[in-house]
Amino acid sequence: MTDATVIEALKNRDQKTLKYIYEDNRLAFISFAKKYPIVEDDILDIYQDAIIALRENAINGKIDNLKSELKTYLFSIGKYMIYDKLKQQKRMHLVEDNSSFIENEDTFTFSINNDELTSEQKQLQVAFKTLGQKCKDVLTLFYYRGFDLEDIMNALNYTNKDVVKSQKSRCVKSLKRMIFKN
Amino acid sequence: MDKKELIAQYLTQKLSHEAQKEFDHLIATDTEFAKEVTFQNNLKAVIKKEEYETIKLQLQGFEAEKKSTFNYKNWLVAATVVVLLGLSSFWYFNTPIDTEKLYNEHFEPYRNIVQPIVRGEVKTDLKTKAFTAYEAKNYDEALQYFNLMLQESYDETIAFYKANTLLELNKTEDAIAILKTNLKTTDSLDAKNSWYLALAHLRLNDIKKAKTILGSLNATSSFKSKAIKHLLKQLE
Repeated sequence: MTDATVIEALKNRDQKTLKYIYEDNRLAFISFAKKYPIVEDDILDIYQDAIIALRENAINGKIDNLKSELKTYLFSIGKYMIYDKLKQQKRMHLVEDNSSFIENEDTFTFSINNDELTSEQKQLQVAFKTLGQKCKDVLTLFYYRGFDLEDIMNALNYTNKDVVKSQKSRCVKSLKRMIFKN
Repeated sequence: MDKKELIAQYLTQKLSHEAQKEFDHLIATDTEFAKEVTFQNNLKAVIKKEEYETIKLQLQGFEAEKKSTFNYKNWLVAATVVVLLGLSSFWYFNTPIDTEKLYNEHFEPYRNIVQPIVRGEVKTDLKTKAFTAYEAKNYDEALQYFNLMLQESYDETIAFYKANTLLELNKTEDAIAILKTNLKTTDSLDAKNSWYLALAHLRLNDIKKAKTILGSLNATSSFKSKAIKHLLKQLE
């Protein structure tokens, strides 16, 4: 698989590709990460988070024009996350080393998703989980993938934009009803 | 520009310089607008978290598959374990959850933190009488006093203790009605009301309702968090 086909497949949430890229780089990443004072469980955890960040940036179109190899990019994210972990453990004074962060700034912004949600957000998460699949799909395409109404209409085979619009507004309303009921 | 459109452009980071100015102005001057932006931002964060958790689970699944690659000898051991697990889970899944047992395991009437009772001291006010009976587990008597107090004036805290009393007296549905009424307004008793409401539903064998309440309680409050997590596991 070429890097471009991997990125395209990740955008389409292809699970086989996710598994392919996970397994293809796993051993190399583990041996790379062992250079740092970090336990194997943490290495796997970081590796998984790096894969998730890579997938997210593929989905958001941030790496459509990636200049480096996908593997190098993945390892750069992983390396950054390892530094972050070591900083948290105060086991390392980070001397700025951007040598491997070869891409432009936008390509190399990614979010570390394991931040705790605020209590307000947790409440909203509980409500979101109770929504039907249709609502979840529409809202995820809109808020996570940044699709506009027309994109959503095409992706989910709706007949026209107005149907998508009212579906989305119903879903948001029912979320609000659930969390603002008090 | 239409406010909805402004927010949509903000979320997709497509605000022009002009639109950004309008957006900033509205955030500073229009509280409804600011509230809506906070809601939308929260929703975005929640969906991102959901995606993260879904994919993380998938990756952990790939990892688990890897670790379960055994050689032949291990396969034999594994096969035996699988058969044993299969048998035990057959029993496990065919044993319905004993909700009454779980209820009894977790229910205890909420302790009196309203009216300190000093032994030997004779006080005749209704509140003291009610909580003396409550502490002495004379629930019939406590119920009468709570009713009298509530007739005088309605008080959510007293109603909460009345609900506890009703649970002790096996009047589960009456207790549910009170707890639900209490939950219509927001106050510091909410988590406690929810906990007992979940237990009451459990006692009526409504596992689904109990789980929904416990799930949301688990996510929003630290009250009894250990017990709640434990109970949620027992209900799986």
